[in-house]
Amino acid sequence: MKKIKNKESEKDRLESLTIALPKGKLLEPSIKLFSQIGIKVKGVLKDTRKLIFDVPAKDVRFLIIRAIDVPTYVEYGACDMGIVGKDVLMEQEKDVYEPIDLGYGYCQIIVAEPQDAGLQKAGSRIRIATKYPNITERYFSQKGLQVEIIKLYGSIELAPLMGLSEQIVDLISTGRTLKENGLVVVERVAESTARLIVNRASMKIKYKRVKEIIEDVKKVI
Amino acid sequence: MLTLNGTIKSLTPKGVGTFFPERAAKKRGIEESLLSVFLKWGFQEIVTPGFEYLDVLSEGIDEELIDKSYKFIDRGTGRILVLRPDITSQIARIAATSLAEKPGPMRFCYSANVFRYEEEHAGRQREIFQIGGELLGIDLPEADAEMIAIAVESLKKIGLRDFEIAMGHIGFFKGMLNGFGLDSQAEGKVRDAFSKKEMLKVEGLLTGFNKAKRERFLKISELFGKEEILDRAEAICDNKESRAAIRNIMDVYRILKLYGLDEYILIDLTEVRGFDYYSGILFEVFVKGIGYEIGSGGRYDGLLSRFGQPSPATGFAFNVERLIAAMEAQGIEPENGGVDFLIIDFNKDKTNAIKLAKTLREKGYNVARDIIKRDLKDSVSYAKEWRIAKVIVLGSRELKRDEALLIDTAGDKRKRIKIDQLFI
Repeated sequence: MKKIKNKESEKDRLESLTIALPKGKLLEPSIKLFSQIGIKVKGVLKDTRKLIFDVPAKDVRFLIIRAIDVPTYVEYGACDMGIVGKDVLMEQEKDVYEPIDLGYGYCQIIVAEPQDAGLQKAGSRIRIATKYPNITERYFSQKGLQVEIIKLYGSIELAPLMGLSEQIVDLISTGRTLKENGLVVVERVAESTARLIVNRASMKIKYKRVKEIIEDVKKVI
Repeated sequence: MLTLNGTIKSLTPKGVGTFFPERAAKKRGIEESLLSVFLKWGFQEIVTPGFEYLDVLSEGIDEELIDKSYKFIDRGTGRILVLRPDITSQIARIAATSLAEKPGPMRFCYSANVFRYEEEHAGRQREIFQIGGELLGIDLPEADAEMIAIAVESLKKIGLRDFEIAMGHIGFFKGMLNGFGLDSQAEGKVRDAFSKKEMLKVEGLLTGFNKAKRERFLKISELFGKEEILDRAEAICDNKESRAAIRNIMDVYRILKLYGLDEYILIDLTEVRGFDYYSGILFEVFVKGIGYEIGSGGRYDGLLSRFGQPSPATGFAFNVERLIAAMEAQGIEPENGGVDFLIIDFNKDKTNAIKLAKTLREKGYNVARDIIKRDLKDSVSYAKEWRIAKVIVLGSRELKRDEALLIDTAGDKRKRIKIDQLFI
C-alpha cells in the first residue's frame, strides 16, 4: 500500500468549508447571519434556481437545499455545517452536533383539532395527520396513547376538515392558518428555532475554522 | 428478478451486503495490513465465537447494545443466544474466565464481524467488520499510548493521510457532572444534550444549581484543541476525579510525544459518547473526507470484573468498511488482489498451459486458466469484464509452434513473443 506523509503545513492552511442553508423562511436570516460575521454571499435571494454559491475570499461554499435534507448532508459530511429548524432535527434524529440555538425562526409544534370536535373521541382510536410521524409517535407513546399516524406532505390542516383525521400535529408560527381553517390548539408538543449544526468529523478535522465560526456566530446572536 | 410465490422480494435483508471481488480485495488488503501491524507490536490473534449466551455476555454489554442485538433460542438448552454485537466484551469474558490464571499483560488482536440492529444512518451497517486489539492487565498511561500509537501506525500503513485522533477522558466529564448530585436519569439527559453539544439545553437542565459551578461545567464544551486546552481544563476543575483525568491525559500525551505522534492528536474533552464500560482515556479516529469516525477505543478498567476477575484493560477497533471508504475518498488503491494473467491454450495437449501457469504462480502472479472452449474474442472480453490484466494465448492457428500471443486487456495491445521468454 502506498504511503503518503501527513504534512503539518497541509493542515494549517485555510480549510475550505461547505455550509448547507435551507430554502424557505430561514434562508434570509441565515444569509444575514453569515454576512454579519464577514462571510458575505451575494444573489442567493434573487437567483432562486442556483443551488451553489461560492465565497472565494473566505473559502466557503454555500449549498441551498430543502430544509429536510440539511441534516442528511451534514451527517454524511457532504456539508461541514448547516442551518435547520429544531423541528426537522427532532423528527430525523440525525447524528450531528447542534452547538448553537440561533433564536430566529421561532415556531411551535402543536396538536390541533376542529373547534367543534366535542367529546366524540373518548375511547376511540384517534387518527392524526402530520408531516412529523416520528415526533408524533414519540409524543403519544410517551403518554401511553395509541394513535394512527397519517403521514402527509403539506396542507396538514385540511385533513380534519375532510374527515381524514381527528387531529393534526403541525408546526405553527402565528397560528393564523389554523384559525382560518377552524382549528384550535389542544396541546403543545415542542418549540423550535433555527439551529447551527456541525458534522462530527468536521468538528475535529477542521476544528480551527469550525471553532472560529461558532465563536463568531455566538457574538452576533 | 427473483420472485417468491409470485411477489417481488428483496434478496438480502437491509444492512448486510456482498463484497464483490474488487471490494473483497480491498477488505482483505486492509485486514492483512492492520493485523500485521498488531503482530509487529506483539499482539496475538484471537477468534471469538460468533454467538454466545445472552445471559453471560450481557454482563459485559450496555443495555442499549443488547437492545440492538440479534437474539434467538438455542435449540439444545432453550437459552437465549445473541449474535455477537461487540468483540471487546467477549475478549473481556475470555480473559476473565478461561485465561484468568495466565500471567499478564495479554495482547490480543482480531478481525471479526459483529451484528447490530442500527437504524439506517450515515455509514452504518448491521453487519460490521472490525479489526481491533485489546491490551489487558496494565493500568498505566503507557498502555493507552501504545494503543493510540498502533492506531496511527495502522492508518499510515494503509496510506491514509489527514487524520486526527481525538483523545479525551470520560473521568473528566463524570467528575464535573457528579458535583451536581443528579439522579441517573437526569445525568443521562445532561449527557445526551452534551453529546450533541446543545449547550443551551444543558444550561436549562442545570438551572437552579450553583451558578459558578454551572458556568464551569458549560465551559467543558470549549475544551477541544491542542495541548494548550489542558491548562484551561485544569483551571475549571473542581474535583479530584476530573483532576486525575487531566493528569492522566497529560501522561498519555507526553508518551505520545516520545513516539513522535503528537501532531496527530487532538485533545477533546467534549466527547462523552461510547459504551458504558469505558472508564478512562477515550479516543476516536477521524479522517478527512469521511463524515463520521472510522475507529474508536478507550480504557475499560471495570469490564473484566463484571466477569468475575478484575483487571485493567484498554483497546480499540477500526470499522473496515469505513476504512475502505476513507481510502476511496483519498484515492488510495490497494496493491494486492485481482488476477494478473488468463492463460488460453488452444492445443489439445495442455502441458504448456499447466507448466506456464505453475511457473507464473511460483513467481508470485495470480493466474487463471480459461479452460472453457470459446472464441478468442469472447475470452478477451471475459478477461476485460473480470479486470484480468493480461491474456496469454497458446496454440492458436496464426501462432508459430514456439510463439505465444500476449494481450494487454486495458489497451487491447497484442504482441507475439517466444514462449521461452514467458518462463524467464
